[in-house]
Amino acid sequence: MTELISGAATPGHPIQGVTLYSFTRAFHGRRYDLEGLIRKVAADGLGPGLEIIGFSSFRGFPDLDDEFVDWFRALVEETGLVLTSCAVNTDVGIRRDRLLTDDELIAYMERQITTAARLGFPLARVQISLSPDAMERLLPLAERLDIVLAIEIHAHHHPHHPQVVSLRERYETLGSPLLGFVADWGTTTSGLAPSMVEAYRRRGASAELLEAADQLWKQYYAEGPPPTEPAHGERFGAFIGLAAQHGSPELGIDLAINATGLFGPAPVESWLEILPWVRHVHGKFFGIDERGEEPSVPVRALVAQLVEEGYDGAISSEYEGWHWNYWDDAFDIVTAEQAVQRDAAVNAGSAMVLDADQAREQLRAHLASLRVPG
Amino acid sequence: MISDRLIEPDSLVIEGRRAAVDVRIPWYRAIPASCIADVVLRIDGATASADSVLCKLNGTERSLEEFPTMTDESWFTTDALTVSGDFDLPDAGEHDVFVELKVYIPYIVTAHGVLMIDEASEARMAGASQ
Repeated sequence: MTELISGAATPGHPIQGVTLYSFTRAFHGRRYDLEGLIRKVAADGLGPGLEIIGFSSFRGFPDLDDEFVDWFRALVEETGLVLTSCAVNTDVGIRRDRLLTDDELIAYMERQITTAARLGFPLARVQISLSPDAMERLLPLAERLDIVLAIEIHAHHHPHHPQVVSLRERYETLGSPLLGFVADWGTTTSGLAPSMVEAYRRRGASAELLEAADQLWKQYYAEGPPPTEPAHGERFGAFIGLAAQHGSPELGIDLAINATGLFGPAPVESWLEILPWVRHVHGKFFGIDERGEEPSVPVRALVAQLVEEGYDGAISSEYEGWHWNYWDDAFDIVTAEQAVQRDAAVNAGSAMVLDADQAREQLRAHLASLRVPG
Repeated sequence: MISDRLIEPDSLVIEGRRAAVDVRIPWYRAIPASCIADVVLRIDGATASADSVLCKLNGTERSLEEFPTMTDESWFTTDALTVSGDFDLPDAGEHDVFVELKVYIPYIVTAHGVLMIDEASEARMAGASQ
């Protein structure tokens, strides 16, 4: 059942949640297995929303037998969590001789999307290498399975990137609530993360290099996100050059990947253009400082924006500082970031949804409706 | 990404001329075996010849040249790839183990093709005999 809604927004009540990606080091390090991690999320109150990356957490994904699917669904029900998103991957490069053809990629995606639906997820996060044509071809499957397909917008992409614009135009033509976007807050950051800068310092980067990288990032922030792929490539190359110029060529590619691919410089307001099509949000963040705030992601402004625009979907807190921060506990950091989200929602005149039953009902309604500008 | 865990601590096993060490995936998700591009194993400065290197994945030992066509088998996030090669090592005492691993990241395609990450790590450990 789908419903098209037009008109002004009433204040939104985003659903609190988390992606297990935040705890990658705990899972990869075998500190928690999948069941232990899900139980920990529930026990620590980091839900009710739960997002999982298929290829990260499910052994054998997407070929999962009924016994596993039944076990997983029972575990989710027992823990009282609410499945929000299954992240699936556009693995166009699995062959060594060539990239997958469009037909092969569609078939590869169909297997993952079908498994996501069997597991009980109402939405599959897909990746931006899928074209508007590919999304249109996948729509009949989404309709059969009643699952939303949402392309993640992640730095270096942004809402005004040509690929995003062409997807949005196709969505407008098709008018289905089953097609949309996942908004990743890493697209709209306000600075490089202090923990990342500290990690580079520990790896031998000079104070001069770190200062120059910070200045270059701020210059790009002032200029706005890269409008085209060549513009992105130029910025990528500039960070590599900076590392070489300051005596750390071995850090160049890593710095370029992070500075352009994790810390997007798009303004928060740029989300407004596509918010009707945002079906799910990745509350990407990198750390919490001694004041209890996120120093490089404007979490409060982003939550306020969702409230003001009537967003009733889920936010998966997505901690990514673990890429370089080997020393702090991810569970504590996520707990602290969710406190910021809740406070921001209250300050904006609303509240995050923490109750599982309310979250379940609200998410169903959110995903079944489409608030078109009108 | 998770390069600090590339070599499983204390996983060195020496059996005659064969020495094996457990290698962890430096990425957050499983990858198809076809994305395993290369593994170099060096112990006490001696590098195992490429034709002596075997990688045990999901219980089966394979040579590196078998991987490129294995698109249907995965290296899971929490599993080790047990990499072995020929060496002349005394069993006793500690050894310097060096591993370099190259894997393709199948969903990231750059202007230079599918992204390949190249991670290396060193660890000192005693060799256990089987």
